[in-house]
Amino acid sequence: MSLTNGVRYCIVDPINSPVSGITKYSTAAKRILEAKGIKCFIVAIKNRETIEDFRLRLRSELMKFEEGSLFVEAPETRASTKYIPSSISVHIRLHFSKLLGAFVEGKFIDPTLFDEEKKAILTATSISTPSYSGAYLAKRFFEIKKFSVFHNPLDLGFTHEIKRIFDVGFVGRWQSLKGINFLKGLIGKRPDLKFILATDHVGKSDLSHYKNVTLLPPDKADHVYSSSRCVVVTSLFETASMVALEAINANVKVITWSHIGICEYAGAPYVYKAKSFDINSLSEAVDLALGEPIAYYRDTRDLMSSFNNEFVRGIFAIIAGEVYKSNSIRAVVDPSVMNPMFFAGGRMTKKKELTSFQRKFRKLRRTPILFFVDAYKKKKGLIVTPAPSVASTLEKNNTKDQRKRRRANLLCNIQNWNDIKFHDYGEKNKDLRANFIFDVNLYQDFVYKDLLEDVYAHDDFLPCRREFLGRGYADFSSFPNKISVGALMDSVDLNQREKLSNINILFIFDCMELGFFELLRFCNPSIQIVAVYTGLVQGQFMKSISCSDCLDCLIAPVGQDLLGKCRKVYRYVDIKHVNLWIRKVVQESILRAPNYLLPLYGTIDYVPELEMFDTEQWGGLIILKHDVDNISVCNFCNYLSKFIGCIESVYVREDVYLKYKTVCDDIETDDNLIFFLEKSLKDGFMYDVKKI
Amino acid sequence: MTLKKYKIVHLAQTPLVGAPGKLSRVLNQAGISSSSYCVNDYPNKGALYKQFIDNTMVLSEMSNYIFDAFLKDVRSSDIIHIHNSLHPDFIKKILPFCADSKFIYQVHSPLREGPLFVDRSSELGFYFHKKLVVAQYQPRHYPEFQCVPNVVIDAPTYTAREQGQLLKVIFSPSHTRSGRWNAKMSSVLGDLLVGLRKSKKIELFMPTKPVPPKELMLARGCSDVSIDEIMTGAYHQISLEGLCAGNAVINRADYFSTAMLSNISRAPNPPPFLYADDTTILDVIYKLANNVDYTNEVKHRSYSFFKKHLSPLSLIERFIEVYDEVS
Repeated sequence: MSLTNGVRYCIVDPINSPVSGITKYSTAAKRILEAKGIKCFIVAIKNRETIEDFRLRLRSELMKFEEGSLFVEAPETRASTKYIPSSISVHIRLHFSKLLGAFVEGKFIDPTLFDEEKKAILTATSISTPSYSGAYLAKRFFEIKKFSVFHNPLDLGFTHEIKRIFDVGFVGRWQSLKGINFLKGLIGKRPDLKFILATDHVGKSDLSHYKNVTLLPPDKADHVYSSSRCVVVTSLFETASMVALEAINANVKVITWSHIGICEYAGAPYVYKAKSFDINSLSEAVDLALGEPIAYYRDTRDLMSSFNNEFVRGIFAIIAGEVYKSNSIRAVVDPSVMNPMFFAGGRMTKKKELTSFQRKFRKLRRTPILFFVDAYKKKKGLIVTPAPSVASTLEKNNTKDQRKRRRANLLCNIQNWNDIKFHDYGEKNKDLRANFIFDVNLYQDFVYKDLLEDVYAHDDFLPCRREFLGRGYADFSSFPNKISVGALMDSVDLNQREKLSNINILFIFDCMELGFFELLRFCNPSIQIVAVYTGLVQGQFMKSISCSDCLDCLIAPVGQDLLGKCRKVYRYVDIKHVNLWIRKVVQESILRAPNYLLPLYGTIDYVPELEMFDTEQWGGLIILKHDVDNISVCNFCNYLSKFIGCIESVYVREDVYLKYKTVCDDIETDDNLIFFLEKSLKDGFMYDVKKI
Repeated sequence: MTLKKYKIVHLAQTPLVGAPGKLSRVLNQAGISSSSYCVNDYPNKGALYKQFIDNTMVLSEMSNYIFDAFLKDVRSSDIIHIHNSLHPDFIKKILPFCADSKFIYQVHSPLREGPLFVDRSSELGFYFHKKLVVAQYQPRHYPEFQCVPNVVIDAPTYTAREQGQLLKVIFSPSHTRSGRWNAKMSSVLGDLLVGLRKSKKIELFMPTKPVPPKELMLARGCSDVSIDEIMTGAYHQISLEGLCAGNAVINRADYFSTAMLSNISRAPNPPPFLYADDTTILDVIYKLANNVDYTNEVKHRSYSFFKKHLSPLSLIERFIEVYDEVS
């Protein structure tokens, strides 16, 4: 076949179980394609290999091949192609994802895996499906534009001795997805029929009281095909059904729902349709099938070969980059018949159940004393533990958790200003600890809620994470303006003040009380105080706020005039951007290493003092042109204004620059240099002053 | 010397290591009527009890009769000079007696840490005609306040270190409290000094308990080196006393701290402090210990700087200027 141009075709099997349809498909496809001259190989997941390991191994195995010489086919299930580079063409064959199965069954769906599968389908070079109904269903979950439709192949050659002594056969795992409820219904309804089932041991106890049922282990499926007159496929959904194909190949009639993919392949005397999810119709179809003569063996073989030929044609088209729709498959089913699946079991369930061991281990971890006391009592028979339903314990524990977490995160709840108490977060990670303080009357406002959610979304950044970022409330409206801040601060216990030293940065939202900033500043000088204004409270507040000596940073909307200078001001246009400023301010407040020296003011020339500069000790380097005239000046302000006249240049450490960013960015104008020196000296930075 | 016509009363809550008392005494020497009171002495179980009240009267220990005399003194004063802070209860007591007086406030302590934490001048309830700040490191915390000096009332001395003699070092931190500006004790320094003593490089006087200030001054007189603290970037009374005793003075005073001293003393040069921090202190002491001539040179520079610029009667002029302005 010149079409393939020596392309190697790789089939990925992320399930690798002898009873799995995907594994059966993979081996069959490999043999058939190789017979047609395509170099073909299977990469299958190994026993005990995690899916992530498998994805990585697959990538490294595929990377060995030359670019353009490889075509990969994988099922969408488990997104095994996640790490395959885009240079390799990927063909996704929609075999009906396990996740969709879980959905139909109403089981827990792993959202990350779902996203991964979605992405794998989006990035695939081509997509194919064994039937139109498979495409309909997949489209409900994934975005699929162009897709090919062609048959699933099957290994021919059935050599088992035929001895049809049972009426109805069934092959498949004993789970609701395989429609066992319908099967049980049929068995109960038709005691006159003899059933033979190849399924796992779970079914044994379920079926023990039916006398008309013979059970076989799952690997004895061939016996079912050779010993039964017809096979039922009761699965809630199948794209084609490997069982049906095998049954047809063994010349056994197939009875199934009308929306199952195999119905698009063939009709009577091979496949008999029943009305979807209707047991009466199923029972009638069984009667109909049993009443009709079986097909000629030669016809069956021709039919199967035509399926396989269509498959090969489809694969060739895929390799050539075309979309192939097999003529012998037609959309026969109305997709709406699948709707009951979405009403019956199909419900998104996210609750993860705890096992008994997990529950006990959690108890040991949280309340070790209680754990051992209870264990002792239980052993002595002093207490009888009723088996609690999983759901009720889950709910109880959840609320407990939340309450605990909330309490642990709360820095303060100041309503009575005579009794100010803080929570101690401990020394661990104290340089990263940020905290938000809201007005107790306003904190439930949606402005804050949205803002907090935005901030929490920065979960790559520890200080902003939900579980790390603390909150606090204070009643700003009852702040005692009449009492001096000094007296108020004296009333705060020294131990309480000390607790604040375990916080790096405090964000205070919409606080109009300058005294509150002063209080916090004097309670702990090392804490950084940031005032944030969201516009939730209106007023001419900003003018006076900016005069406060105790603010390290101000985040406010544009347009508000400031009366005084502030060390650092960030203005925002849209409230949605505030979370970004908050992250920026936190980042800038974190100690950095190495701490570079930046030129701030004056001529930027090389001076030898730059090399000798000690960043540990000094906040910056000031080079003077000449000494300050020693005419007595009465206060420090006057002294500084004389001092800056003598400055040749100023270099500052990066953290110092970031702390006074707004002033530093505009250092040449508006007495900003004096302001900068005054505030930074007051804040405790020291400068190495040298004369040239 | 002409007697000034005004009368000053100094009030403080605690003795403030003798600063207001010394000030009052020098004012008296300069011919100005002045007296100094503190409300409480240091705790009587502590080591500082009764050590700093030579020139100050303790009000809490007075009988009623003497307290009445104090109130009379307050009533007759022209200027009431309040240091650091006063308890509101005490202010209530004296308020009726100082209707005619003018008030001056002077701060001795840093902002944002003990004992004051906050600028207390506004909450005392007086109108202050002048606000003053000690010209050490504190002016950067109170940039609007007028700078005034701390005075040392002892007579300056100079004793040269003889050849072959070990370097005599005094390091006597007054407390072990911490704080950005309050810290005194460096973790490195104590061990380092003990090590030097053990290796017979220096002779060390490092008392574990506070020593009476007069005894300490006596000890400085026959020492070569006074170490102030090398933690914060400030200089303190110890440095001034070291200069007075003709010692080489080691501290970590930054440019602005020393500039305040030369500014307030009108000295053309910065004071001859030896700058050292934890990393350089060893080199500084080593150089002094190994070189007697250098030691004597530094010692003499200290002595002459004190004699020339820091004599109490010349420094008290800064206060007299303020009082003249107010009265």
